[in-house]
Amino acid sequence: MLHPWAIAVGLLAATLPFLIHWLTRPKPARLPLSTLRFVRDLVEERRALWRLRDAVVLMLRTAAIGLLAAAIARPFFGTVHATPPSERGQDVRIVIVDASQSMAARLGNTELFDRARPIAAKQFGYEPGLSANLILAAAKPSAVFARASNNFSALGEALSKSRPLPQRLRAQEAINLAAEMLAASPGSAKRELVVISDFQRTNWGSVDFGSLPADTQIRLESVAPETPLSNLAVLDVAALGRAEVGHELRLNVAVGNFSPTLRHARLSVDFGSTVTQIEGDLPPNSRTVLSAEMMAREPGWHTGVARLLDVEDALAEDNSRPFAIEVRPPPLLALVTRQSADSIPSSSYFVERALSPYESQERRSATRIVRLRPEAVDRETLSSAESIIIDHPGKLPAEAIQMLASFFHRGRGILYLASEPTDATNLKLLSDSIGGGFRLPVEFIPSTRRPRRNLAIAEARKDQSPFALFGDQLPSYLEELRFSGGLATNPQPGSIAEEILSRFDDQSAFLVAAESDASTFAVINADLGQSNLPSSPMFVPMLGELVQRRLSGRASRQEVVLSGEPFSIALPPDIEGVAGMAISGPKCTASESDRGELVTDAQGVLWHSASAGVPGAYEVRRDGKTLFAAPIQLAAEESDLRTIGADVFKERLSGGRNVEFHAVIDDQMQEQDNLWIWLAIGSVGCVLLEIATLAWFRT
Amino acid sequence: MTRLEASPFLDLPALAALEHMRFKTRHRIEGNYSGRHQSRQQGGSAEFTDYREYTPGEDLRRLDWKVLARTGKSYVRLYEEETNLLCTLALDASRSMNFDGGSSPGSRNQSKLTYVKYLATAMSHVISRGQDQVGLAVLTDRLEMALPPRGTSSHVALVQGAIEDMQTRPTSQMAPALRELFERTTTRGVLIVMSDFLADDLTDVFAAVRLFRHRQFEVIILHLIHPLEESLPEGGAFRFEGMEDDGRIDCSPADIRSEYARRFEAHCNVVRSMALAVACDYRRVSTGIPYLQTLGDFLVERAG
Repeated sequence: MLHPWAIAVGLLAATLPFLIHWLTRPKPARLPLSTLRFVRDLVEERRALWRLRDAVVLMLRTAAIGLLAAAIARPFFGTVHATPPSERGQDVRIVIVDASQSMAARLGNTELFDRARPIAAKQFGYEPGLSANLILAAAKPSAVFARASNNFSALGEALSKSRPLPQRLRAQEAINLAAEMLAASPGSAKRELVVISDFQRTNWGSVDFGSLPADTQIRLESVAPETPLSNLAVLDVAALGRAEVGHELRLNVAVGNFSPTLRHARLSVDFGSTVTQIEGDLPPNSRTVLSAEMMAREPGWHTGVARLLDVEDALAEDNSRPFAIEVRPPPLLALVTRQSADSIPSSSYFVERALSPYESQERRSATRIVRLRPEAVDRETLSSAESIIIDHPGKLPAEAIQMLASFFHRGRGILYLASEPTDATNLKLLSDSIGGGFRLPVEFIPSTRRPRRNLAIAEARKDQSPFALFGDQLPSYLEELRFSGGLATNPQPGSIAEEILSRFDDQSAFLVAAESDASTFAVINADLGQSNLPSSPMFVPMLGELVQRRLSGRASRQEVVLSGEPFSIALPPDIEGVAGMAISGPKCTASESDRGELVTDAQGVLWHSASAGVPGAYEVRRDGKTLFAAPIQLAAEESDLRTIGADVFKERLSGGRNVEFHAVIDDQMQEQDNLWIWLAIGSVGCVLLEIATLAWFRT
Repeated sequence: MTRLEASPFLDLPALAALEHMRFKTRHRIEGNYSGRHQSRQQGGSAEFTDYREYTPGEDLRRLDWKVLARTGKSYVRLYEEETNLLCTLALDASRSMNFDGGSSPGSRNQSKLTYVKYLATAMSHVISRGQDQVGLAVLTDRLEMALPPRGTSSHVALVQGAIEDMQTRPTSQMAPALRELFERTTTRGVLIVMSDFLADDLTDVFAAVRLFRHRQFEVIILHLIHPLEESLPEGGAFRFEGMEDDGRIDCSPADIRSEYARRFEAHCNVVRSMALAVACDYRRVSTGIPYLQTLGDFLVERAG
């Protein structure tokens, strides 16, 4: 509602052009003319025509000025939803404004947040007895005041200074905070919750308004268009398998196409000093994985960014995504066995040859195996090993078992080849030492009834590693295999059946694999020295895959940290102490607190923060060397701009509350947003028509 | 009444080049004295032209006695009589003759009336120098002044003085004055009408002119046009004020300029057609051309 003085000033301003026109209109020059009769005749003949011309010109000129004024005013019709003031004079209005990343999406040339701001500002107009508060909702809801206040100017100022944050929306937390404020208001007060958001399906799909006081009037103001905005986004970047020096590194880039049409995307993947471009078609409303292959030259942590090229979409902030990958040196495997290296053939010989078949010229890119006798297992060798293979160890000393369990906790996978009765004891002791709920799916027991000879594979999970490698040829390979040795097995009660990957025809387990939080443990239940598996074409790839799985256990642990949210990352166990360590992040990082802090606890070094900073690659450095890196990313759900319908709020999410839903910007509004362009064009058209009319009448 | 001072419109040094030229008529005229011009009368003196059989009652002095003696037949000798010119300058003194372009661009601030005064004064001088007689008639809606043709220098000075003193009146009628002049004129001669013909009664004007032609007058129409009358001035808005007390009009000339020019040209063509229809000699005179040039061209044409 405009102030009467404002209307008066506006009317005065409207008369100004007429006044200027009247004051500056051309004064006719006086001229005595002897031939006035001709002029009079002509004027009288044309007077009717001139009147018509003047009327047309006046109409066109008025229309041009009116359209120009309307274009400058950029009108929006039907956006005012006035709420009648309470008669009791004790109104509490909490306004939640969505400040998540999706509100930075552009509709035309305007961000959704810029459209939300004036709607929110209207809620803070003075009304007798009204107190209000503003909650800016993102990863954490942030209220301007601790409780509702009538300091509307401060609320308006806070609103004007607010901007969308690179964070996802935790809508329920904002609702809960608003519920606390509304509940704190007097019992007779009229409670009103106004939510201004784009109401993304991903953010609001599970919100429950049940926490609000029952008499709360809920008003939802959607600034999203009825037709979802088209958006492309880089949703995830991950290395496939273990990144290793000298080996091809395959990066899987997940790209989301949140639009109703097929889109072609071109991406640039910057990784260290390498830039690779990939492209592909993205089906509508889907997530597509595009792969980039590159070579890592140097070991250590490397950061990079994958960005979409030449793309025009609603949200630009999600068109790039940082990532961090640790490139590791060629793996060192510890082979714990009491068999001699000179004992040929033997089980350990086959294992060694299968994993390191030849001495490579490029020592850097070849897998190295270090033989350790069980009684000589030392911490230094195990710490440098990526994975541990145990074959014919005999009875493992207690110290060795403790040490193996300790390194299993620190991410070293274990592949155990069980062939002797003592292995049953070793496995039980190892399992017990690992503890923490870790348990193999079967119990290995020495075979007492008859010797285990000529066993065939009865079943194998062909859709799981390592058997998935062989595809349709798997049955023919398995058919020829015969095994001897190994242990009888009993299923552990409550075990996971999927962890038994293969069985012999006597129903004992051939291959099992169990996982813990830290690493994986696999057991091959056979004596390779007495089996024909080493001569089978599937031996080398199968063993390689099993070891690779144990190796990749550590590499695949990529930390996902979302901007604006608390995080705590345990740095690799080999990093000790925080002295001399510093965290570096993107240049736009505002403060130290955005980067988090490093602390030491019983688990090692922790990097944590109550609120992660802006998206980007962050590195933990000591003496200029990067010890660890992690990307702080934008939540992928912010990229999906599809919205939730009014009926869902009213029928499913309202929690019995009275919910009113207004789509402030629908397609018609978008047309209205472009209305000023048409008004301006209309104004120019009227001017051109006026000129044409004058020219036509003159001729 | 004799004027002692020469008219300011009489530029004798400028007229010296034209003094040797004479105004000649194209028709036989009737004059008071013997002169250079072919008279409508045949007889008395001058040049022999033909014989004709004697008719009883004729003046016996014209009988050719020698032919009668030789042939026994009576013939009368016919001679071409030459007489002087009786020229009346009829000047339009309506207020429209005061038009000088005002302050519009291109105006030389010389009105049609001033131009007429120069031209008429010079013409009276040239005519009188040719031993012809010159008279004056000042025309408004009535005959303001009429001086019959005389040849004396004092009369010429009187005519020139009257031209100098000529004042305009707001009127759009000229026919009554011409009729009155016709009624007062008892002789035949030459009538030179100098006017802009911006009159409402053009038909009546030329009806009056026709009376003069019936009386065997040679009528010369000098149609005076100011260059700024031919087209409206450039500019945005003008308040045109009539010169014959016919009001005023505010308008933008751009809207009607071309049509105005067409109308004015049509008006000039009407005047010319009506003049030629009554066998007048028509001459369009632009006040943008110096009056001496106009007079010189006129006399050259008349001499040829």
